[in-house]
Amino acid sequence: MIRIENLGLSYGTRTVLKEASAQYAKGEISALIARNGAGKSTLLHAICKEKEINAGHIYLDGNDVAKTPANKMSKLLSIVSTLRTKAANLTVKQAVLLGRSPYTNWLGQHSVYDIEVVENALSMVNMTSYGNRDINSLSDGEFSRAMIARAIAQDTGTIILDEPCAFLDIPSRYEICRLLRELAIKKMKCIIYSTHDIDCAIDAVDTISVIDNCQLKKYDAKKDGRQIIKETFGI
Amino acid sequence: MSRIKHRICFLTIALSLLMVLLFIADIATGTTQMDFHRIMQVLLLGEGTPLERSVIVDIRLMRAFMAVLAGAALSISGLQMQTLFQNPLAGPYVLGISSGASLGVALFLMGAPLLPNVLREIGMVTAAWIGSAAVLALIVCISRNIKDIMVILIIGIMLSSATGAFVEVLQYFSNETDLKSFVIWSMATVGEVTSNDMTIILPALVLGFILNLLCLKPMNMMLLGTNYAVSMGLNIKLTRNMLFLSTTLLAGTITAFCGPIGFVGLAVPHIARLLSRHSDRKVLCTICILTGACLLLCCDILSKCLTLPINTATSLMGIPVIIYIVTRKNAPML
Repeated sequence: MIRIENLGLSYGTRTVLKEASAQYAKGEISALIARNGAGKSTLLHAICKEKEINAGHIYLDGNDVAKTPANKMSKLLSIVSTLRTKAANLTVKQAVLLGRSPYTNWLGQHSVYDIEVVENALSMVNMTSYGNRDINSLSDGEFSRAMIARAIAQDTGTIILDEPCAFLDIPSRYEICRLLRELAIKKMKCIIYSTHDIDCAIDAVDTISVIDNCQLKKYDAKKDGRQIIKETFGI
Repeated sequence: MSRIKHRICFLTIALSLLMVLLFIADIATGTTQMDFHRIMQVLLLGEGTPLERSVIVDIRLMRAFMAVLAGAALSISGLQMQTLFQNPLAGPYVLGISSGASLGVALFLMGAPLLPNVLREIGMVTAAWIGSAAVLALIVCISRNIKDIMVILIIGIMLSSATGAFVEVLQYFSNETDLKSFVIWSMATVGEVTSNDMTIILPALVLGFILNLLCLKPMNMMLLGTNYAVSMGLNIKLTRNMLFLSTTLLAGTITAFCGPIGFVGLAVPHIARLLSRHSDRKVLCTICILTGACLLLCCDILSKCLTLPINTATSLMGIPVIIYIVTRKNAPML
């Protein structure tokens, strides 16, 4: 669960948000939409504590992000980015196992339970048979799914995804969106992801969040999604 | 899973055996011709004349032991820097450890008139150590508020060049004898270490290895990129500084006592990756230690047989490996 209160946010000299408030419930999936440079990534980074905020508060399951130490944050929120790894010989299973890092000892040794969690995560994203594949041999779509499995393995209430559909072909985009919806419903995760692909998002999400005029506006995707997009972007 | 474990197990045992064999071969080679049987007698049974004992135990055994330590330390340090900088061409010297050490030694040998009396007493090794630690401290200071690791890499390279320029100035104005001692130091050797030096080398290396042990999990977490590592609760600044310190202790100490041994730290992590086909730093570090020790023993044997400086041998062996690695098709390299 994410609660944003009177948030002020900027990057460089540009103001992204001013006195913005919004709330995302458990089991809610929301697509974050805005023009290039409007501050989608900045907002997501702020929620992840990667960026300092100017004013207001962000709460994750009731914890003020600004005051939450990194090791606690790692159990509240996980991220998925499209950046591919340069690591050689890393298998899908090992990559997903890395998601268990917040729970393992100082050497990173994993328990039977960790392996179980990882196998469940892989089956959630339909990649059980990919476990021993080299992560660099995966297509972009498969890689995205593996990274989502890693986030599932991290076992956090909230998952933040920065443009998970950016480099994907059309079927893979729908697959990812469907997967995220399933995750929100079955595992009661709170999911926010930034995207430019409205058509793909609209069937999968509960709400659409728009950064417009330094405000964060939320719309019901079922009711007035398409029209709001038209209004926001003036198309 | 178990097949991978078996392979790693087999590889570890095979490399350990190879290391033992090379270790014995390294002791057996040298300028003084000695019967192999006789060497074993001196070594294992403690027989032989004082002269024989001094050649075999004090010189050759020490030299082989130092080759093992240097190979292991430089390889671990190379793996650390490649992981930290996410760059396959990073090595123990990217942070200016060797140029810092060169500066220390150059100042000691050639800049003596410039130095106060106290500093002339400290010896070449301490001068090298202080030089590399100073350059590293400078980098850590400058990069304290820098997030992008690429920038730190560039700062490291620039500082190395700056130190290099200063060393050249010293070289230009120095006399022939001092210049020659400096050039010989810069060619590196593992043969000048005494058992007295070991009282400094061993604690420094042990501390470096312990720090490396503490960084194994953080290095694994960094495999997917710094963003992921931080989101999984990693304190990136602490990890960075621990790795810097570990590398100074490992590569800095070796450079101080043996001179700047090139290419081992750069090439061995790649060889270890090829051999183990594993990404876990726990496995890679083990394989790195063994491969590094084997490679440097080989280089030492080669340099003894051909009476070449050890850097020639490490270049001959290291450079082809690196060229092979970077020319492989779209190979990920960390």
